[in-house]
Amino acid sequence: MVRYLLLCSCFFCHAAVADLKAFACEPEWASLLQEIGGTGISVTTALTMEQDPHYLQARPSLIVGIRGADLLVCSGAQLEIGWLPLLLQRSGNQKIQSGQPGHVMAAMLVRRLDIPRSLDRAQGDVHPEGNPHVHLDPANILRIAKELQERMIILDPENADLFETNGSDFTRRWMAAMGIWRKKIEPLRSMPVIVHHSSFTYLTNWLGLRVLADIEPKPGIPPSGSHLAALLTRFEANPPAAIIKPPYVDGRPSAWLSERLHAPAVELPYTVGGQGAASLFEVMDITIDTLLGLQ
Amino acid sequence: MKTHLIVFTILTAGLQFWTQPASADTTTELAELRDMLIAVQTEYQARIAVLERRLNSAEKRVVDANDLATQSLRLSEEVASYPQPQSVASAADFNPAIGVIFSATHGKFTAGDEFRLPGFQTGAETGPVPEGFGLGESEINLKASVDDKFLASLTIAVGSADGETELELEEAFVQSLAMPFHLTITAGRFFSGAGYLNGFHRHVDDFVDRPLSYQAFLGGQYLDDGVQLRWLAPTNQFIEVGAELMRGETFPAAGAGRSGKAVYSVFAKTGADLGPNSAWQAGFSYLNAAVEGRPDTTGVDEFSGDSRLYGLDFVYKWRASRIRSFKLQGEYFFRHESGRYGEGSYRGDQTGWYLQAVHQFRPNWSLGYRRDQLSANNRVSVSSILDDMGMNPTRDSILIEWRNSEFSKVRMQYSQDQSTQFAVDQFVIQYIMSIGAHGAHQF
Repeated sequence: MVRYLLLCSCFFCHAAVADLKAFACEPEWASLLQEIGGTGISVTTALTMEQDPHYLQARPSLIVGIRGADLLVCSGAQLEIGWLPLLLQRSGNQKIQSGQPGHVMAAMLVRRLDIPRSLDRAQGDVHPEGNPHVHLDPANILRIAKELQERMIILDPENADLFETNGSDFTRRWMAAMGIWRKKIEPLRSMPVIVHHSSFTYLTNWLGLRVLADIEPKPGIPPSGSHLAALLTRFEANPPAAIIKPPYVDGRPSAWLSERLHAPAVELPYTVGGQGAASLFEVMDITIDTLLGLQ
Repeated sequence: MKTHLIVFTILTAGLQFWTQPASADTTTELAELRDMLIAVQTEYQARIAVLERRLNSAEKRVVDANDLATQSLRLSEEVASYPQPQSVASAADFNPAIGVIFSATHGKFTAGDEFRLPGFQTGAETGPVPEGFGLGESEINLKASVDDKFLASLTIAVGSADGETELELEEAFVQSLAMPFHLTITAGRFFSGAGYLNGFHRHVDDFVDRPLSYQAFLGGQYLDDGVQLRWLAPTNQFIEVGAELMRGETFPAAGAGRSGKAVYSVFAKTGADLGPNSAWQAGFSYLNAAVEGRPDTTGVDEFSGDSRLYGLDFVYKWRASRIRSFKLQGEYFFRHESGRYGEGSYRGDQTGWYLQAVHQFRPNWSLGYRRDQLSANNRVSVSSILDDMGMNPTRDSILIEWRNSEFSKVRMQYSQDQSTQFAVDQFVIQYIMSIGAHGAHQF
């Protein structure tokens, strides 16, 4: 009996530690939540790195995941417009609705790039609030980490010390890493690349890469044969140093172009899980090393 | 380093002293000793070089550490002064999201477009698209949160019949966002939660027209005025149950009996993932309608009585990125009706099902197949259209669809309809395009 009680109490004390439940739309936010939340948080992720954040469906397991969440972290800026509103609507969960402390749209916390001057779908699937793929600029991560830490403390004040310690530890490590990256990336400045989808805008901006063209004729519109042929004739004489793509887009267009331009087609991690990156640190490390390896 | 040099000098001097008295016959020994001496010398030189390297790198590390400290200070200042996020809000943001759907068809049939399902009394909006050009319905949707606790949505369908423009209120509902215990209340006019496909707007359908079973049992789509309560069970498995109470003025009901609460339904859905890229959902529903004077499309007879519809549905979806996807979907219905039909009595047991598969095989292309079947077992005292003439209506449809983006698709459907004795081939071309707000995809 005593042993049973002890087991029970131990079970409850364990449950009391990880009592903040978070729902992250993308793996990058799940990883960041885990860094700051540590043992005080359990995180459910909607997407894997292979899935395109634009195209997901409000499938049953996601409704279950979001139903019990205390904290929702997504990129926002309409990246998840095709499925998140429906999940929120069907969750029956008031804690994570827009305007609540449990509702965080990461892209809205930082300065966004590519805010269109005019809005017209003839330009493709444009995001009126700017490019939502903000996590590939390390400075953005610092700001978002700070906000997540504050929200966690509001939602679970009992674990404030834990979140504070983890948060400042993460910030320290991230800043040290930023110092190292800053030195390492110097040779990458002005490296000419062709990208597949605007997923890397913040990265290319931070690294100072020269983006010659996008494999997608318009954001979200798959490349046609004629568009690829036009890219080929345009860059035949002056090929880029690389053609870069995130894991979730079709690899065939970049492979086709790579073969004919004699420029390497490279898949970058894009997010945690991509190319085996286990953390946001590794995402940046692998990305930088891969690009340096092309020099 | 100094001691090394001293040892080295003493060693060399000692060796010279020791070799002095030796005679010339020890030249080989002398050569050996000289070799040893050279070996010792190179080894020491190597060690000295290593030590020098270590000293250099240690000095460099001190410089690096200082560098890093100043750099992270600079970084923290930089991050603090990093530009603030832009504000994009304006008063216009309070305007509801507006979406408009455009759709039109062109139909070509080997026989006339007169539609009949022997053994079934059908509602107004059933049958294939018109032969030749047809505009169908254009939809306007307005949607926004009311405040922190409610959401509202309005859908108006604009169509034309017999040269007259018709406005139809498809949806006008408010929905709670902040009920306790994961409850959601919807009130107003909305699509009933009974059946799987019934909850979807027609413009997201995979085929040009609704399955025969939907046309026979739900009038294509059952929407009505009332109230719905949904509850999401606190389990790891997705389980949702719901109940509705509706006015009962539209097919399959009519006449708003039971003091304007003629229809009630209960439904339950469950589902889960099958690996990272696929998921399934299955559901059960029951819809009970007290019918008062449900007219037939031919306008000859009316049905009054009791209608009970049982439905089972399932859907399986697989999706690997935006390039390829697969969807298998099916529903089975059983209906029992009893009461008066025209001048006589009527008891009927009817079943219907459809099964469809859609495969997106290239980024812009999909191919689909659907099988439909209905059968009726009616006991009618007076001859009427409820006589099934020994027919079990069936239909096979294939569809090819091209989409340029999420907002535009053009498709072609071929159906072989064997509802009556005469097989009818139907070719339909349809486009569906949307402008304005981006709709969300329901599972």
